[in-house]
Amino acid sequence: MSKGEADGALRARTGDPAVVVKSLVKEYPDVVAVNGISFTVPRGKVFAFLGPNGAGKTTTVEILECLRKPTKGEASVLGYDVRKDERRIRKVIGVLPQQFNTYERLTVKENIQYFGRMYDRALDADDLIALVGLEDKTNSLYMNLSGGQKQKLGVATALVNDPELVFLDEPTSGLDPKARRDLWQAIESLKKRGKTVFLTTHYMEEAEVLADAVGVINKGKIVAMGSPDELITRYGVASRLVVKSPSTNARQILCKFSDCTVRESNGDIEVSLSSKSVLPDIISLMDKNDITYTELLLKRSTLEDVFLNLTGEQLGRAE
Amino acid sequence: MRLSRIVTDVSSSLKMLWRNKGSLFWMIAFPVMLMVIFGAIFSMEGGTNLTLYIQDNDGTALSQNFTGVLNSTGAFDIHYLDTGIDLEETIQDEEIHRILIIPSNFTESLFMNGSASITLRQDPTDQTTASATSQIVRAVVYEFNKQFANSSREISVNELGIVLEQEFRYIDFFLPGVLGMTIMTSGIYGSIAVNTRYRKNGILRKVATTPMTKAEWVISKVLYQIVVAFISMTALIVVAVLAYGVEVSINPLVVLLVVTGSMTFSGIGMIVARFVKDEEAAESAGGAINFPMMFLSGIFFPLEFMPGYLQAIGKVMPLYYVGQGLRDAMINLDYEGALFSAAIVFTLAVVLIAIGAVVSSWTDE
Repeated sequence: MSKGEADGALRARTGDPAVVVKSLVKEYPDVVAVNGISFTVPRGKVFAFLGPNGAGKTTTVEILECLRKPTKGEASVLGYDVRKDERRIRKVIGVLPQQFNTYERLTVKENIQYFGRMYDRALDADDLIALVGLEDKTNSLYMNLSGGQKQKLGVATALVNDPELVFLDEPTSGLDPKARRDLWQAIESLKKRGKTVFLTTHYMEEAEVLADAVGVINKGKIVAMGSPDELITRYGVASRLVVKSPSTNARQILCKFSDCTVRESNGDIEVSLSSKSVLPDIISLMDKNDITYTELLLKRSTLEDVFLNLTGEQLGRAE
Repeated sequence: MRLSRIVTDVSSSLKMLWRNKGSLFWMIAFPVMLMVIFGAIFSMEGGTNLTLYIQDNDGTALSQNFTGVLNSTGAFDIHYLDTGIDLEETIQDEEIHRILIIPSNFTESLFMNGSASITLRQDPTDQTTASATSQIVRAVVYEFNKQFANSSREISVNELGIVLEQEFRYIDFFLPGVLGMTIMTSGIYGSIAVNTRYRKNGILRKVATTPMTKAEWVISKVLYQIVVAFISMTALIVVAVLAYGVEVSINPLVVLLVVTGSMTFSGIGMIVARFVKDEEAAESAGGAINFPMMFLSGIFFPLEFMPGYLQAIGKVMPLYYVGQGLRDAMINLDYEGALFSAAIVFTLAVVLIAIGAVVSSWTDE
């Protein structure tokens, strides 16, 4: 696949990070959607913007895509200022907008070709169809595709100009688990091709599976930033041990050992572990006190715990 | 400005139109049906009887008796013409298809010379009614002659033709009107649909992230409307010529009026879509502009049929100038009149497209 020659000069600016945002503010008459956020996305990485609906994810992304003008602050994309270089930015980015939609009476291939002709140079439509795994739907009208197939076509149209940076705004929102995992594969293949991917999601698993770096955003502010592992280590509880026990003294003994919570519904005792190395100590403690158990389950902490810890709010959870 | 983007958008839109049989029906088949139906309704002669004009230059008891017998057959609606009028002019003005002329010396000649002739003139283009008329008149004359059997007097019928010059029929009036109406309907609704639906369903947002500019988008959408207008025009003209034998002139003024008419109504649609963002509400607003304009602009019947104050309203409707201009350019061959209308429509097109392009939102803020 050939890279657009006309874009060659633009692509030369490899020194700049993919995205730089400084003290960005977006105010609307009734709400401050983005409230002074700063972050940097290095090239070649998958960056996930994680937060609940209305957190300011899409507003930020649409400022970077030059669809909205910032109120204050600075933002640059591949070295270009979003206020001044709209035209250049549009040539080198690919976008899957939130709730992607395209022409319902054009086929998969015709839709890709349509968007391809908007650029000076475009990748071959059949290659893109193969990349997202829609070969058997090449000549199906968009209106006859399933939700997952529509999103795959959306990803293909976002890649049609062979962009350096791809924005995927809630790519798997509303999809069933199978379709979601299918799409994750397609997104992972982008990373292998050296693309920078800017992803927004309110699904924890999505960020954990795909992202190199995660920015957690809530109410227009970034509340944490780092790799999924870093965030879990720093803000999550390392892991938790779930104990199902018929012994009446189990709760008393275990909660003396460490922080723990008891599920009222089924009597499960969840013990927070500072590290996995304390596991043998707990087991021997239970033996010593004649605590029997029907089940021991070691749960790794997730980004959901991170979000809960950071904001005190529950986040939507992927199936 | 990149031509390839515009061409891609227009050709894709046409492809989608072709696949949308519903839209295709409303844009092309419906106007044709409307024209055929209205053309058929208004081209019928009133009642089942034939209209026969009689000019009785004799005015004697005998001639009146004769026309009375003709009347009593019930085959004709008889209209009497005054003597001493300019017959040829009256025939053209009243579009008279058949007329019976009784000469001033009818009774005198019959009694003095034993013979007299009356003249039946008919438009031969409608052969069935012409031969029926001829037979009925001759039958009456034959019966009449029987009473003179003993006196060997005889009335003869002298048949002549009528050549009607430039016969103006309803279909001639309606074809340019229905074309103007189609341009208006698809222009207003088409641009409302594009600007509300594509904004709401996110297609506009996706397109806005590509290098396509707002100017290219607006030009594509207007160009598409113009192409659709020419497709509708072709269908209407082909049917009008084949079914009604309408004589249509296609000249640069017709082309100019179709192009600027499409632009005018696209501009109106863009402005409506800007201020009424909900798709259904915008379509209702489009209807509120479309329907009054359709009936007040002299499309279905001449403006002169309406009371004065409605005529005044009609004359400020853009559609009036599109319809009247097309009528002058295509049918009446009144190029001066067409040019006047075209100038007005051209001005409207430029102003409305400019306003529409400026106000229509491409991205948020």
